[in-house]
Amino acid sequence: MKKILLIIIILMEQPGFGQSRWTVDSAYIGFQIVNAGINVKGTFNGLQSQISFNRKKLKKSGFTASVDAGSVNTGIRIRDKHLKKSEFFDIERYPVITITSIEILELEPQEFKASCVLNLKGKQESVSIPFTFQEMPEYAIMRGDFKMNRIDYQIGEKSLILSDSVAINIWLRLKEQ
Amino acid sequence: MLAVLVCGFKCYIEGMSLLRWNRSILPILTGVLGVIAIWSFRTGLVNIPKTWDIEAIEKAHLDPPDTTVKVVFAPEEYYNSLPEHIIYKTYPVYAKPYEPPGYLDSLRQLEPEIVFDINKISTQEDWIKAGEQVFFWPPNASDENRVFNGDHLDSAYLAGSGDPITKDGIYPFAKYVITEKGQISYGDLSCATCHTRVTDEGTVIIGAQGNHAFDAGFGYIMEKYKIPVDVVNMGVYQLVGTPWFPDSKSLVFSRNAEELIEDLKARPLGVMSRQGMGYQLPLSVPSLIGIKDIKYLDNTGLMRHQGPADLMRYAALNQGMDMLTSYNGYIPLGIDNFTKLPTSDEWDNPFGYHPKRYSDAQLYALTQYIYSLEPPENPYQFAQELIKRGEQIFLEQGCVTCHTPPLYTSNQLTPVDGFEPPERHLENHDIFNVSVETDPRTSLTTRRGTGYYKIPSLRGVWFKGPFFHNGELATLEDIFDQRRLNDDYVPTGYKPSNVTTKAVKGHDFGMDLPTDDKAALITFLKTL
Repeated sequence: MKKILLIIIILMEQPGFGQSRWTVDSAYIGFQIVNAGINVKGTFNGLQSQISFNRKKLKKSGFTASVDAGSVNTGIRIRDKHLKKSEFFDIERYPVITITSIEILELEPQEFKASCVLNLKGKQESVSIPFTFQEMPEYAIMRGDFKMNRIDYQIGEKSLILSDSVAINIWLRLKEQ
Repeated sequence: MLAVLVCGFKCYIEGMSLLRWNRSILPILTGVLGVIAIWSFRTGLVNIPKTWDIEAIEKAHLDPPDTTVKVVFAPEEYYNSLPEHIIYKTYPVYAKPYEPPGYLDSLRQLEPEIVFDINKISTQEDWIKAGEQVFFWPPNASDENRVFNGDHLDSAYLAGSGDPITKDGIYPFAKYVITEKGQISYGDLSCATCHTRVTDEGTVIIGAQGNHAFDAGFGYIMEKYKIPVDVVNMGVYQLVGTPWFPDSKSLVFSRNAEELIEDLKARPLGVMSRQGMGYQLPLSVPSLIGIKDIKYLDNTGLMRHQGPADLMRYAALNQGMDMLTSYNGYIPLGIDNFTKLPTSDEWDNPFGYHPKRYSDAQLYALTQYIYSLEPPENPYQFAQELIKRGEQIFLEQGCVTCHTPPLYTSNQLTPVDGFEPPERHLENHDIFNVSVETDPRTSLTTRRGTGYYKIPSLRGVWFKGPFFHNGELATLEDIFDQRRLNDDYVPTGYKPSNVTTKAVKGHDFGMDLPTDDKAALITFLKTL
């Protein structure tokens, strides 16, 4: 009995236990970067995720999500081919981009902030992602936007025409499991 | 030099124990230095680089993509043993129907006049003027070279070859030379032969992508004079053969005269055979205007260009020395089965070059002239709104990444399909490491091959064309025509004579833009 109780206690300490688990029904993972004064947009596909989220149990909420680095798409095929090379995403060595939450805090009702680790091109850096989580009767919308410095991850070199800062836009429609 | 003198002078003054002399000596020495500086400027004292410096050439010259292929340049002793060109005054050649009556007789009355004399060069302006003489000097002009003496420039030739002439009837690709009173030589193969463009209005743009009907003209002459193909084939192979590609030889020697003539005539103006290119891989002639800012020379980025010295070496190579370079043991002008350098007596260049070289001063002057070339005034008048829209599309489409203002090139090389840049190239060269998927053969299978193409500058694109490495596309509009990617496309520029259709692939940017946006983009490009 004591063993069972211990297991229950341990499980309760794990993120996601007793939480709402969500699967991704539809997703948009995009980025924007200023190139020669023009806002260039792109997307990633191939999202794989594990999301546990309950606004009343944030300490036990969390997520990990990854995208296929080779799915980068800016609408210009040859540019995408270049982005996949070693100077940028180096998809042969680093095929997956992963983000994992460490802690989630509530800022306002439906507005949260996740402290995360972004694993990109072999570099792991802390990022903070403000996001909203709106629960509807049949689905939930999770939306987050944050900025990152591509130089921190050696995504290309310093450039006079390409900005260092990249805006990341995440939009997910989730269904509760 | 002035900086060194001032620095040395300052150190000397600081070391003097009798500092009190400073006040009296300083103004005097400063005055002397000033006089020296002014004198240096006025006399154009320049440190003329040494052209044939093998170490420097090897450093600037990119290797072939096949690293087993060894390129060995002619030794310095050999180069230095060649006599220097003596550059005489040259005279216009008229197309025969436009030649003023008695013109040649009037030339026969003239004394020969040497126009390049280093002792008469004292200012930068003098260097540029002297360089102009070098630019127009036809290195194959000699007393022996009177095969045609301009007589071939009749109406039938002009119509048959499409060779353009100026509104005054001048044929600007050749010059008459007088090296002996009473004797006129017809000469070409100067820099101006390939880098002179005659506009539709009959004006001339010096240094531009030339439009001399080099190949079509030769095809016409071959046909007219019934020159046997066997006589021509070996010369063609010397010109464009790549010995480490067996197909290269069979391609050249399998053609009969009709096929060769047909292919020569298929080369549009602005596209020509060139030594080191491949058979049926003619060259889209580059423009020299603005080249001072360009870091690599040749479509394949064959040589780095970091200043006049590199351009001098490039010019020396392209005006004959590359034909004396050993490509994996094959010397295009070599004797003993193309394995040894010829002596002057053994020299047998099928293209008219003589066993001579330019002096370092001549080549330096040439670089100063080329650097001084300016684009002509743009005759196009477009609505500002349309230009702005085109510029916005240029930015949105990411053109700016490679064709970066203000040069409208990033001055980088892009690898071709089939070539992976080694790490040392990525470290030592300016490489934008993605192929734009154009036809890689020029850079993989020719003597000028490097595994790369240079990102061309779009400046002055309004007076250039045909486009792409082998001049397959006649206009900017054709570049953005999606149909060119299909196998049933009929190239609007050079189309090998043995095919009826041919896809012109690669650089497929902006293909699916709406028609209006394409027009705006092209408008913007024509303003550069």
